Amino acid sequence: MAFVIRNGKVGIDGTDITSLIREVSVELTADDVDVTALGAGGHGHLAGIRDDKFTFTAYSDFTASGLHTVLSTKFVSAGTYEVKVTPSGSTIGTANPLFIGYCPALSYNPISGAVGDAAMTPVEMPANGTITISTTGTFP
Amino acid sequence: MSQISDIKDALAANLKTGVSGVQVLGYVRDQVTPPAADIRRGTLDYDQALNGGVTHLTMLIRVFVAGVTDKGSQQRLDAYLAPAGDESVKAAIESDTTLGGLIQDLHVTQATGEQTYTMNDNTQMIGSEWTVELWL
Repeated sequence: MAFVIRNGKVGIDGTDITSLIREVSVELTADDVDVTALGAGGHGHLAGIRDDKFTFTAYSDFTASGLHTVLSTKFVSAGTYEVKVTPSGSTIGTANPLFIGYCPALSYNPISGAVGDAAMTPVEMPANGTITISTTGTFP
Repeated sequence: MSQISDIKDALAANLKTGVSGVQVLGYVRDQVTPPAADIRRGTLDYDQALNGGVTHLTMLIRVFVAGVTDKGSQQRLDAYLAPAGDESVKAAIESDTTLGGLIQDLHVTQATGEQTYTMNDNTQMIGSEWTVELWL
Protein backbone atom coordinates (compact mmCIF):
# COMPACT_ATOMS: atom_id res chain seq x y z
CA MET A 1 0.00 0.00 0.00
CA ALA A 2 1.34 3.40 -0.95
CA PHE A 3 2.04 5.81 1.83
CA VAL A 4 3.45 9.26 2.38
CA ILE A 5 6.71 9.57 4.28
CA ARG A 6 5.53 11.46 7.30
CA ASN A 7 6.19 9.61 10.53
CA GLY A 8 9.36 7.72 9.70
CA LYS A 9 11.81 7.43 12.55
CA VAL A 10 15.55 7.95 12.64
CA GLY A 11 17.73 7.17 15.63
CA ILE A 12 21.48 7.33 16.14
CA ASP A 13 23.13 5.72 19.15
CA GLY A 14 19.85 5.62 21.04
CA THR A 15 18.93 9.24 20.37
CA ASP A 16 15.76 9.92 18.41
CA ILE A 17 16.67 12.61 15.85
CA THR A 18 13.46 12.23 13.86
CA SER A 19 12.24 15.79 14.31
CA LEU A 20 15.36 17.14 12.58
CA ILE A 21 15.26 14.91 9.52
CA ARG A 22 14.23 16.50 6.24
CA GLU A 23 15.10 13.56 3.98
CA VAL A 24 16.04 9.97 4.63
CA SER A 25 17.27 7.19 2.37
CA VAL A 26 18.20 3.59 3.14
CA GLU A 27 20.22 2.21 0.26
CA LEU A 28 20.89 -1.52 -0.04
CA THR A 29 23.19 -2.21 -2.96
CA ALA A 30 25.62 -4.84 -4.10
CA ASP A 31 28.48 -4.64 -6.52
CA ASP A 32 27.60 -5.67 -10.04
CA VAL A 33 29.98 -8.52 -10.89
CA ASP A 34 30.25 -9.18 -14.59
CA VAL A 35 30.27 -12.90 -15.33
CA THR A 36 29.89 -12.67 -19.05
CA ALA A 37 31.34 -15.69 -20.83
CA LEU A 38 32.86 -15.77 -24.28
CA GLY A 39 30.18 -16.03 -26.92
CA ALA A 40 27.42 -14.72 -24.69
CA GLY A 41 24.75 -12.63 -26.37
CA GLY A 42 24.45 -10.32 -23.38
CA HIS A 43 26.18 -9.49 -20.15
CA GLY A 44 25.91 -11.84 -17.22
CA HIS A 45 25.51 -10.24 -13.82
CA LEU A 46 26.01 -11.51 -10.28
CA ALA A 47 25.43 -9.68 -7.07
CA GLY A 48 28.77 -9.05 -5.45
CA ILE A 49 29.78 -7.56 -2.15
CA ARG A 50 27.18 -5.41 -0.48
CA ASP A 51 27.71 -1.66 -0.10
CA ASP A 52 24.78 -0.43 2.01
CA LYS A 53 24.42 3.05 3.41
CA PHE A 54 22.10 5.51 5.10
CA THR A 55 21.72 9.03 3.75
CA PHE A 56 19.99 11.84 5.65
CA THR A 57 19.48 15.53 5.29
CA ALA A 58 18.98 17.01 8.75
CA TYR A 59 18.42 20.48 10.12
CA SER A 60 21.58 21.54 11.93
CA ASP A 61 21.24 21.49 15.70
CA PHE A 62 23.91 22.75 18.06
CA THR A 63 21.90 22.58 21.29
CA ALA A 64 23.48 20.86 24.28
CA SER A 65 22.41 17.30 23.50
CA GLY A 66 21.43 17.90 19.88
CA LEU A 67 22.51 16.45 16.57
CA HIS A 68 25.96 18.03 16.64
CA THR A 69 26.75 16.37 19.95
CA VAL A 70 25.48 13.01 18.73
CA LEU A 71 27.48 13.09 15.50
CA SER A 72 30.65 14.96 16.39
CA THR A 73 31.54 12.91 19.46
CA LYS A 74 31.83 9.67 17.51
CA PHE A 75 33.51 11.39 14.59
CA VAL A 76 36.26 12.83 16.78
CA SER A 77 36.85 9.49 18.46
CA ALA A 78 36.64 7.56 15.17
CA GLY A 79 33.80 5.52 16.61
CA THR A 80 30.89 3.63 15.07
CA TYR A 81 27.30 4.83 15.01
CA GLU A 82 24.35 2.53 15.56
CA VAL A 83 21.75 3.78 13.08
CA LYS A 84 18.08 2.79 13.12
CA VAL A 85 15.41 3.79 10.61
CA THR A 86 11.75 2.84 10.37
CA PRO A 87 9.27 3.74 7.65
CA SER A 88 6.49 4.87 10.00
CA GLY A 89 6.50 5.16 13.75
CA SER A 90 8.33 3.21 16.42
CA THR A 91 6.19 0.05 16.59
CA ILE A 92 8.29 -2.51 14.75
CA GLY A 93 6.62 -5.29 12.74
CA THR A 94 6.25 -6.80 9.29
CA ALA A 95 4.53 -3.67 8.02
CA ASN A 96 7.07 -1.42 9.68
CA PRO A 97 10.49 -3.07 9.59
CA LEU A 98 13.52 -1.76 11.39
CA PHE A 99 16.62 -1.06 9.33
CA ILE A 100 19.75 -1.27 11.48
CA GLY A 101 23.32 -0.58 10.53
CA TYR A 102 26.63 0.02 12.27
CA CYS A 103 28.42 2.80 10.51
CA PRO A 104 31.97 4.02 11.06
CA ALA A 105 32.19 7.79 11.35
CA LEU A 106 33.95 8.54 8.07
CA SER A 107 32.81 12.14 7.57
CA TYR A 108 30.87 14.87 9.31
CA ASN A 109 29.47 18.00 7.67
CA PRO A 110 28.00 20.01 10.56
CA ILE A 111 26.63 22.93 8.55
CA SER A 112 25.71 23.48 4.95
CA GLY A 113 23.68 26.08 3.07
CA ALA A 114 23.64 29.51 1.49
CA VAL A 115 22.77 32.75 3.28
CA GLY A 116 19.06 32.80 4.05
CA ASP A 117 18.70 29.03 3.91
CA ALA A 118 17.88 26.83 6.87
CA ALA A 119 21.21 25.44 8.07
CA MET A 120 21.41 21.80 7.09
CA THR A 121 23.60 18.86 8.01
CA PRO A 122 23.92 16.36 5.18
CA VAL A 123 24.82 12.92 6.48
CA GLU A 124 26.08 9.88 4.57
CA MET A 125 26.80 6.77 6.60
CA PRO A 126 28.14 3.67 4.82
CA ALA A 127 27.45 0.57 6.85
CA ASN A 128 30.22 -1.65 8.13
CA GLY A 129 29.02 -4.95 6.65
CA THR A 130 25.37 -4.76 5.76
CA ILE A 131 22.23 -3.01 6.90
CA THR A 132 19.97 -5.63 8.45
CA ILE A 133 16.19 -5.68 8.22
CA SER A 134 14.29 -6.77 11.31
CA THR A 135 10.61 -7.16 12.09
CA THR A 136 11.32 -7.14 15.81
CA GLY A 137 13.25 -4.82 18.03
CA THR A 138 12.91 -1.43 19.61
CA PHE A 139 13.39 2.16 18.58
CA PRO A 140 15.58 4.16 19.12
CA MET B 1 -4.97 31.70 21.59
CA SER B 2 -3.40 29.74 18.73
CA GLN B 3 0.29 29.52 18.00
CA ILE B 4 -0.16 31.60 14.81
CA SER B 5 -1.91 34.34 16.79
CA ASP B 6 0.88 34.33 19.35
CA ILE B 7 3.44 34.66 16.57
CA LYS B 8 1.62 37.62 15.06
CA ASP B 9 1.45 39.32 18.45
CA ALA B 10 5.16 38.72 19.03
CA LEU B 11 6.07 40.13 15.61
CA ALA B 12 3.92 43.17 16.39
CA ALA B 13 5.74 43.60 19.70
CA ASN B 14 9.16 43.49 17.98
CA LEU B 15 8.04 46.08 15.46
CA LYS B 16 6.53 48.39 18.09
CA THR B 17 9.71 48.24 20.14
CA GLY B 18 12.09 48.77 17.24
CA VAL B 19 10.29 51.38 15.13
CA SER B 20 9.15 54.41 17.07
CA GLY B 21 5.72 55.87 16.45
CA VAL B 22 4.34 53.13 14.23
CA GLN B 23 0.98 51.70 15.23
CA VAL B 24 1.11 47.96 14.88
CA LEU B 25 -1.73 45.49 14.99
CA GLY B 26 -1.40 41.80 14.37
CA TYR B 27 -4.50 41.88 12.20
CA VAL B 28 -5.65 43.56 8.99
CA ARG B 29 -7.75 46.68 9.55
CA ASP B 30 -10.32 48.55 7.50
CA GLN B 31 -8.80 51.92 8.27
CA VAL B 32 -5.35 52.94 9.39
CA THR B 33 -3.81 56.08 10.79
CA PRO B 34 -0.27 56.23 9.43
CA PRO B 35 2.37 55.33 10.17
CA ALA B 36 0.80 51.96 10.79
CA ALA B 37 1.41 48.29 10.14
CA ASP B 38 -0.55 45.10 9.91
CA ILE B 39 0.52 41.49 9.82
CA ARG B 40 -0.84 39.03 7.28
CA ARG B 41 -0.59 35.26 7.10
CA GLY B 42 1.42 33.88 4.18
CA THR B 43 2.02 30.33 3.08
CA LEU B 44 2.60 27.47 5.50
CA ASP B 45 4.71 24.49 4.51
CA TYR B 46 3.89 21.67 6.89
CA ASP B 47 5.97 18.55 7.56
CA GLN B 48 9.37 19.97 6.69
CA ALA B 49 10.90 17.28 8.89
CA LEU B 50 9.76 13.79 9.82
CA ASN B 51 6.94 13.48 12.35
CA GLY B 52 5.89 17.11 11.88
CA GLY B 53 9.23 18.24 13.29
CA VAL B 54 9.46 21.56 11.43
CA THR B 55 6.84 23.87 9.91
CA HIS B 56 7.92 26.68 7.58
CA LEU B 57 5.70 29.73 7.78
CA THR B 58 5.73 32.99 5.86
CA MET B 59 4.29 36.17 7.36
CA LEU B 60 3.81 39.45 5.52
CA ILE B 61 4.16 42.75 7.33
CA ARG B 62 2.65 45.68 5.50
CA VAL B 63 3.58 49.17 6.65
CA PHE B 64 1.70 52.28 5.57
CA VAL B 65 3.36 55.66 5.93
CA ALA B 66 1.18 58.46 4.52
CA GLY B 67 0.03 60.18 1.37
CA VAL B 68 1.85 59.39 -1.84
CA THR B 69 3.31 62.89 -2.34
CA ASP B 70 4.29 63.70 1.21
CA LYS B 71 8.08 64.20 1.40
CA GLY B 72 8.30 63.37 5.09
CA SER B 73 6.52 60.06 4.66
CA GLN B 74 8.80 59.12 1.80
CA GLN B 75 11.84 59.83 3.94
CA ARG B 76 10.29 57.75 6.71
CA LEU B 77 9.81 54.86 4.29
CA ASP B 78 13.49 55.13 3.32
CA ALA B 79 14.42 54.62 6.97
CA TYR B 80 11.98 51.72 7.35
CA LEU B 81 13.47 49.98 4.30
CA ALA B 82 17.07 50.24 5.49
CA PRO B 83 18.66 46.87 6.33
CA ALA B 84 19.83 48.20 9.71
CA GLY B 85 19.38 51.22 11.93
CA ASP B 86 16.97 52.62 14.48
CA GLU B 87 13.95 52.74 12.17
CA SER B 88 14.74 49.61 10.15
CA VAL B 89 11.77 47.24 10.00
CA LYS B 90 14.06 44.31 9.22
CA ALA B 91 16.25 45.04 12.24
CA ALA B 92 13.20 45.46 14.48
CA ILE B 93 11.65 42.16 13.44
CA GLU B 94 14.97 40.33 13.76
CA SER B 95 15.70 41.81 17.22
CA ASP B 96 14.42 38.55 18.73
CA THR B 97 14.67 35.73 16.20
CA THR B 98 12.91 33.15 18.37
CA LEU B 99 10.06 35.46 19.43
CA GLY B 100 10.67 34.60 23.03
CA GLY B 101 10.97 30.90 22.31
CA LEU B 102 7.76 30.60 20.25
CA ILE B 103 9.67 29.56 17.13
CA GLN B 104 13.03 28.11 16.17
CA ASP B 105 14.19 30.99 13.96
CA LEU B 106 13.06 33.78 11.64
CA HIS B 107 14.58 35.76 8.79
CA VAL B 108 13.32 38.89 7.06
CA THR B 109 14.15 38.05 3.46
CA GLN B 110 12.54 40.70 1.30
CA ALA B 111 10.73 44.02 1.09
CA THR B 112 8.68 44.99 -1.92
CA GLY B 113 10.01 48.55 -1.93
CA GLU B 114 7.65 51.47 -2.36
CA GLN B 115 4.10 50.48 -3.13
CA THR B 116 0.91 52.50 -3.39
CA TYR B 117 -2.02 51.00 -1.48
CA THR B 118 -5.64 52.03 -1.93
CA MET B 119 -7.52 51.99 1.35
CA ASN B 120 -11.19 51.13 1.88
CA ASP B 121 -12.12 54.81 1.74
CA ASN B 122 -10.26 55.10 -1.59
CA THR B 123 -7.44 57.18 -0.15
CA GLN B 124 -3.97 56.16 -1.25
CA MET B 125 -0.94 55.59 0.92
CA ILE B 126 2.57 54.57 0.18
CA GLY B 127 4.21 51.80 2.06
CA SER B 128 5.94 48.49 1.66
CA GLU B 129 5.48 44.84 2.53
CA TRP B 130 8.16 42.76 4.21
CA THR B 131 8.40 38.98 3.91
CA VAL B 132 9.32 37.12 7.08
CA GLU B 133 10.30 33.46 6.89
CA LEU B 134 9.75 31.56 10.14
CA TRP B 135 10.64 28.04 11.20
CA LEU B 136 8.43 26.49 13.87
